[in-house]
Amino acid sequence: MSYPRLLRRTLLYMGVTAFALWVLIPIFFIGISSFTPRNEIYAWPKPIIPSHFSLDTMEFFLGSYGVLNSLLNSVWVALLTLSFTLAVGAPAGYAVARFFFRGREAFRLGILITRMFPTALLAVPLAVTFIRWGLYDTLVGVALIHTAMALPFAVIITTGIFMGVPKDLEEAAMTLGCSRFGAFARVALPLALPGLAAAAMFTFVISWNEVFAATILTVNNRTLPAHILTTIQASPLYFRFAGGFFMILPALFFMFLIRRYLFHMWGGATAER
Amino acid sequence: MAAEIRLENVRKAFGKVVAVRDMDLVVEPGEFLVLLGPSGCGKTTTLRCIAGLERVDRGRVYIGGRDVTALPPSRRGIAMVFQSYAVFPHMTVAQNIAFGLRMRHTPKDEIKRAVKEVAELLQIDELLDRYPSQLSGGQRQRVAVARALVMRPEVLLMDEPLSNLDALLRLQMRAELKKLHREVGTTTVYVTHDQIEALSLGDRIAVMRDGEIVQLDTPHEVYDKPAIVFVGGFIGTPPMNFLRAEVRKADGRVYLAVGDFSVEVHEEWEGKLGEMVGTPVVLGIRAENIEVRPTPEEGTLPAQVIVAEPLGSQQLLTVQVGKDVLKVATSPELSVAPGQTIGLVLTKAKIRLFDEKTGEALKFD
Ligand SMILES: Nc1ncnc2c1ncn2[C@@H]1O[C@H](COP(=O)(O)OP(=O)(O)OP(=O)(O)O)[C@@H](O)[C@H]1O
Ligand SMILES: [Mg+2]
Repeated sequence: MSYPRLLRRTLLYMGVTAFALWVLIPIFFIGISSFTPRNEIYAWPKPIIPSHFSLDTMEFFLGSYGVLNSLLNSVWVALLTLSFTLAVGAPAGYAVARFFFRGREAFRLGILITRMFPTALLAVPLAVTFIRWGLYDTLVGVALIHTAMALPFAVIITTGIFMGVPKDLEEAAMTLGCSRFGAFARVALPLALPGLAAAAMFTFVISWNEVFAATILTVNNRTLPAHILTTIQASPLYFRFAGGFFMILPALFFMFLIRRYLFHMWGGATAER
Repeated sequence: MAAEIRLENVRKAFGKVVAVRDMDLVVEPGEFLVLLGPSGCGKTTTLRCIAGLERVDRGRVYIGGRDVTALPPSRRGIAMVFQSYAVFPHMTVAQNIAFGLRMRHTPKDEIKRAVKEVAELLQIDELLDRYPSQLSGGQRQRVAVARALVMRPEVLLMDEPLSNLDALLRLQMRAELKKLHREVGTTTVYVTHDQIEALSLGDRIAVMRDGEIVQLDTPHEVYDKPAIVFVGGFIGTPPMNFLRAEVRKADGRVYLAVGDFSVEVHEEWEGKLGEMVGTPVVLGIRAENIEVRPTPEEGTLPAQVIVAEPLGSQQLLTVQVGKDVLKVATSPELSVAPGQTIGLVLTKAKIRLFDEKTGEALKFD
């Protein structure tokens, strides 16, 4: 390896390592602290590895008022969001991938532009509208907002997925006796399923982590992030660690499962190898 | 079992590109028809119009006397083999072959029997439990053919089914497809841009250019009597030779002047050609219909050898006559050197004449 190339490599890896540590160290401490006995969290100097594994902190967190309830709310909202998003996003992605229609390129761009709109600007009008429609402080209401946030990504991901399923296959199915829809259901859908699962997980995580809309649109039916946000100032340190751990759990888990598709979505087909 | 296909005035355009231009075509029941033409001439589009995968802009499509113009592919009684094979990757070979029958709600045991039978016919019965990713290109191609044949279609459509195979396998599959057609007898439309494939497979060949059929004939006729210059130049290895010539008359005999030399014509042509004295024409002749004399004698066309290529069973000479370059096939024993001047004799009966402007063959009957 030539000298400049070696240097470039070294710098690259150093950069990547630094970046990874910057992300991983907090995650590490959050994870470790959530399973440390409560009194040890305040110990100084803090041991990197706790003296023993304990569910004490977790128990306290889950037992706190409103936590279990908001955890369930979060799961519900995330599942609702996921269903809404796939129900609308997958057909949209299929249409963009398969059909030529006027304004197709504008549509693809426009999808992303919706993400440039700061939710904060919409906060008051949204709350007013939701109150008027009877959606305020309901899980469906929050799920609808989350759907709006997740849809652009879902459409982009599913477009990529369906583009990866050759058109020939559906046409072959049609010559073999399928209707258009039959060909989609029997050939395109099964082949797209792993990708769609990835899109679903991604949507789940977006909803799970969303805090702003969930906070302003609910009072009693808080999701987990909204609950933590509103109680965190008055909570002890170990409560915060345990809460943080729950927040990152699905994200961590799903990201490992779907990272191949994320590369794909960002156009890095080479990153797969 | 085998149905007639009839296209009437079929047109299909994509924006400004007219892929199929007002085409009339009748494919006889049981016939093996090859659509041949250069890339982009509309072969695939024609096939897709027959299959119903493309909606025609105007005109009508009949299969077995039935107007299918408005019917979806599933109700046309066709089966198709795609260039990419389009074998379903999430199904085993057996499931792939059974797919169409399952869509038809054929009873299970009957499907099983049919799959086994067609798999044996195509020699893939060992592979029934495999997934397509575990197959070679040639095996995948067989699965695609089996999947189409098991439907016992009235019409079988194939779009360059051999183009993704290596040369040797292509040769072998070509022979097998021919045999298969003899056994099954389905009306077949076969798209290719490989003229050798077309000549060897087709009962008839439809040569296409720019969305139109320019000649529809038996392989022999298409090869021997191209209807236009384009067909002669597209078919055959090497393609037909073309020379600029002029019709002349002297001492009551009509002849063709090629540069300063004269070429005799068929006696039967003299009548009509006699009326065309002074007209420039294009003379077409195939490489194997030219005899070579080691030296230019009286009555031969002098030519200078540019290259001599020994090709095993024959020797191919590239020679220059005036401004035109010709290919001449000779026996491999003939020894000639580049730069040498030889004499050519054109076989009178094999000469074709074309209108210089339109490129159409002149007719003499
Ligand atoms: N879906 C389409 N959209 C736009 N233009 C198309 C489409 N399909 C075909 N064409 C155009 O129609 C013309 C004929 O295409 P077609 O695929 O029928 O050619 P072909 O004879 O099969 O060529 P090849 O030998 O390369 O397969 C081409 O100019 C092509 O660019
Ligand atoms: Mg084609």
